[in-house]
Amino acid sequence: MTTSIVACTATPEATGDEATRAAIVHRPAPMRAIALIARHELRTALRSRMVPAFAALFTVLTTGISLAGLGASGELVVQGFMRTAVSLASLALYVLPLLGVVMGAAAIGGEDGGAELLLAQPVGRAEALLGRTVGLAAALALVSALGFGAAALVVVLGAGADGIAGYVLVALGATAVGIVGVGVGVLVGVLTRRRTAAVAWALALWFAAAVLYDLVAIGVLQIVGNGQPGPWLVALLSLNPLDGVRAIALIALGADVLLGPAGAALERLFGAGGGMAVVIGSLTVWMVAPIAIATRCFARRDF
Amino acid sequence: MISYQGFTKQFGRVLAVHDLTLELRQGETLALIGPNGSGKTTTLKAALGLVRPSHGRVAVDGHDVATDGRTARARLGYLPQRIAFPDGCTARELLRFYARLRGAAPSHTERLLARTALDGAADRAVEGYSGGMRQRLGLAIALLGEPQALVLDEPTAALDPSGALLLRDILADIQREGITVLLSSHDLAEVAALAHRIGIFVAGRLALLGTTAELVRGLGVPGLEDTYRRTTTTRLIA
Repeated sequence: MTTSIVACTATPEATGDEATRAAIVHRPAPMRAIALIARHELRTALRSRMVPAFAALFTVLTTGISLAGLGASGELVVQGFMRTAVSLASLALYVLPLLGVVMGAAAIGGEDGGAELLLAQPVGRAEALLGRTVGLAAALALVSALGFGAAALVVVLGAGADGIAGYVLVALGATAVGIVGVGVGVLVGVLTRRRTAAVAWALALWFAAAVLYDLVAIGVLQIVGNGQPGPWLVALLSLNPLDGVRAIALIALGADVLLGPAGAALERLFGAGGGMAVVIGSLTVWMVAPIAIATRCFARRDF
Repeated sequence: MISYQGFTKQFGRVLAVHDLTLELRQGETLALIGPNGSGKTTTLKAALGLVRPSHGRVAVDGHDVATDGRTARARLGYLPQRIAFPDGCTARELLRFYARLRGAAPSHTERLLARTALDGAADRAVEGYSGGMRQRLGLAIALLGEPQALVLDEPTAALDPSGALLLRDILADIQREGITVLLSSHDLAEVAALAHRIGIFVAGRLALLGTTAELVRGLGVPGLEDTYRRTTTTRLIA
């Protein structure tokens, strides 16, 4: 098939407006573009249905847990920070990564005119993706701050501030794992063409990390570690940021007191040989690597 | 203003656009028509770097879209075929966000709201907007930062007649200001009324290019409709 081009002669003359337009062409600096996009994404997330719903649910659960202690005579009393932190460590390490991964996948996954419109502006693709990710991470951090903050207020008013340091560590750790979830969700969104598929994959990954992984880890320990905690346990906990943070939180809250001999073993393993540093390093890698891969894939994607 | 030099785009085994060489001059309106999947949208998106060339080069005002995309995009405004805005945002907020990205003054956003007849609804959440209002908001965003050229993907598709007429009037004003326009459309009457030149795409190739008069004369047919029918039918059969 050949192309037939008919000669064209009728083109209008350029007007004097061209010089003006050429002079005011504007490109935002990369960091400013990231900040602008992040702020817009945060506002959009906070006005969506999902984030406020998660925030409300999480806050109800956290304050409920802080109030759920029973006194000697069976009446409801406010728990101290340590007991609240132990309970919240379990809850938040499920809820916040779930919110993060779903939020990231839903925001980035699928094709819509919104993404095209943003990428048609004078910003780089990396800036657009990083800005959106930072905005989503900020939204998750706000949800976390609201939930942990409300519960902390209840505890301080009802039982004092004793043990607040461990509580803050749990809050920070859970928020960090939530942000890891955002990064993984963003990566899933970048790799998936349809939003529904992105969210489905995100949920599957969360289920694998939050539920299946522990079962597999126990099996692996039985096979290669003879069921004994040791370097294999450190390695397995480091591979899954959710478990790694849970281990750190338990140690900070007094694992030997909470879990008996198993907790003491955990504390021994992580206290010595840089186990704690390995988990923190793993968490850092988990926060950075998905975003780095997503940015690379996003730069190559057609819209 | 916008130039394609041997632009080819392949999606897997599908050849979306083949060896396109085309130059849009400053102030010109070029309309691309053709059946669905013939390569119009891919061609439009390539000007913005949304689609990367498999071969060839696309440049805006001399800036290669692949290597200097931000500079190229700073000269373009874009209205996508399917435009989606986040829930909860108002037109004014969205315009201000995009205005900041493009370095446009807040007063410019107010002028654009008035120009696109959205000033009365600027503080309403956009999810309550009609299709026509969304398109006009998209056009207002495209006009932010005084672009030298507009890329419009089926701007009046799915609009009712009054919405389409209003958008067409705005486009006519834009043309008078000397802004280059590259658009795709299925509306032959609209294309004939707006475009200085028309390109007919068939199966990823630019089959014909010229003014309406040239195209009609070249094929010896009574009008643009017949030109389109003959070109697309012949090429598809071939």
